[in-house]
Amino acid sequence: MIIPTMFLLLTSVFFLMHIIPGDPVRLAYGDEMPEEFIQDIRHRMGLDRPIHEQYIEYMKRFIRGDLGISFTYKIPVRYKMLERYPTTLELTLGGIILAVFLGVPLGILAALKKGGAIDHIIRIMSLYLYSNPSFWLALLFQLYLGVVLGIFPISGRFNLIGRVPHVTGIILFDSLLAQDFQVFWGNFRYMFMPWLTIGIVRVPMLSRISRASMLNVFGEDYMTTARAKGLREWLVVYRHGLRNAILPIITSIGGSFTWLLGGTVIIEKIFSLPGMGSLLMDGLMGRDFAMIQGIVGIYAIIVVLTNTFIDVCYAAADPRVKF
Amino acid sequence: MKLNKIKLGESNLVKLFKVAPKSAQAMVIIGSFLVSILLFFIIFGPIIAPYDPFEMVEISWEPPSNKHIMGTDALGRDLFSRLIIGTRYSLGVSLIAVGFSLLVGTILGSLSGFFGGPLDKILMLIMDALWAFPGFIFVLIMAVVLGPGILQTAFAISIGRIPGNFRMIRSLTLSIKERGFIEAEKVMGANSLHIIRYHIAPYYLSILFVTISLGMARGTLAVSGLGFLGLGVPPPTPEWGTELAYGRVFLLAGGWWMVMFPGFFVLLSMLGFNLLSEGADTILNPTVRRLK
Repeated sequence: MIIPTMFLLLTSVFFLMHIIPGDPVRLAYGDEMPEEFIQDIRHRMGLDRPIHEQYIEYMKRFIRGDLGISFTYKIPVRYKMLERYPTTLELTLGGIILAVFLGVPLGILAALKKGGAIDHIIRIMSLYLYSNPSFWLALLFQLYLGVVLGIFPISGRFNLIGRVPHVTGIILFDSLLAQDFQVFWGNFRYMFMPWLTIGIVRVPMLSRISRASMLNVFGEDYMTTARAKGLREWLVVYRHGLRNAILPIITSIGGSFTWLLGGTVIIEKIFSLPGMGSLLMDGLMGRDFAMIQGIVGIYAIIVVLTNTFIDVCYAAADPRVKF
Repeated sequence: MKLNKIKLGESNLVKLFKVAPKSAQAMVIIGSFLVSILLFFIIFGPIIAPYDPFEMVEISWEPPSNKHIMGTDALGRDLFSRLIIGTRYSLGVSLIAVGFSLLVGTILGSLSGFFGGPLDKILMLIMDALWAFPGFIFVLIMAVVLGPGILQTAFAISIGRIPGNFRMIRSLTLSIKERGFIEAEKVMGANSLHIIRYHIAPYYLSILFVTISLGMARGTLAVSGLGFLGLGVPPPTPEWGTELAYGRVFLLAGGWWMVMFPGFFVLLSMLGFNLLSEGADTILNPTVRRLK
């Protein structure tokens, strides 16, 4: 699956990029530059060659791991990505962890109390939350938690100024590794609202999947057997219920992760986080072909890796799954 | 069971609605109510709107007052009028997107499901590749490629929805092709029209209704998301997401109304369509019905 997916995505994005109106070189250097200079740059970047030659050249380079040079930043796309990806990873992981810890228990609770008041409340709440546009939620958090109450910084990323050694780039982990709790807390305050936004937007999905999946399992004979054995209810739910219901939940978590590759574009813009989403947005605005293609290519790899990782999780969670 | 409530001569839909769980009934009723408010705005928008949505009627950034119940925007235009008229654009773009993606998805999906073979394999490969990838990135790229505009935005959004619709229609076609009851009808000598009218159409239509309703919710979100990023319907067209983006600039200075009200309109329509599709799914879809 990985080869055709990558090939299709890269090819379609390559050709789409070349029909975008607007000359990227002109956009990068501004209107004042003389035409000869622009032509020279175009020539040196190979942009004046026939499109099929450019395409073959691009594909060859991509296979070698060379993503090209960004028009706007004038440095290799790879460097820019290495600088930006930890922010997005930190944002995504935190948001998903929050969503899982809120969504899955709520779903299980709803399944346990099926048809009762709690089930209805959870269902209505998740439908309501599901209908909230993420950007609106983010702005409301900024307004109430940031401006009115002033508990959390409104936007931006916590500035380390080299206080904690760079290990993973994810400040949350790096600060823990260095045991610098001041940095940990400072970073937490900056990331809290973005995490909350992502978390809340994803909770409905996870709680619904968990509920449906648990309900499926509750009808099984082994649940009755477990109860008949006299096991305590939480053990029945955890060991016999959740362990069997976990597969769709894992799929849904993986789905959240790939969904977030798109979702972070808006979240990063609102909270001024220097991540991959804002890099993509800048690339799109500046007609930065190399950057857009590079990001789409990397995202395709991430999508495929996530799906593979989910398959591995399947095998770990369910001994019946064999490769 | 509430079967005793059913009267003779009622249509199937009414019967299904009556035996459905209370929660699903409530969802459909509230959802339809919200959607009809929006429809009302679309049809009677110019009559309800107290001011011209394109005219500067007040100083900029007036907070809500009796004269302007939702305040005024960056250019001194009445926000309430703009949002009411904006319903046409936000939902209209979303509707075009849903319609187009459904059309393409239906054509490709039924071809793929019906004929199978190499065509099916190739289409599945393409659609699976697109399906795995986050749709919003495609929508963003397409929006930049096509440029700003109402039809362009609608088309960009529909691209993100095609793989999902394709997969749904393909599996529907396959399941109908293989269903035993259709085979049985044929054996009993029923003609194609009878089979389509009584066995295929109800099945298709119920799923179609849920899909369109859900698509409208997602579509409206995408329209306002693109508008928010400045890639959607261009100004001065009053579109909810674009209004929100204007308001965001003024948010930190306390201009809450410019963010609160446009977002509320998006929330209202998403809630309406989500409730409608969820309730209808419970009522119409037998596999969902069992789980509730």
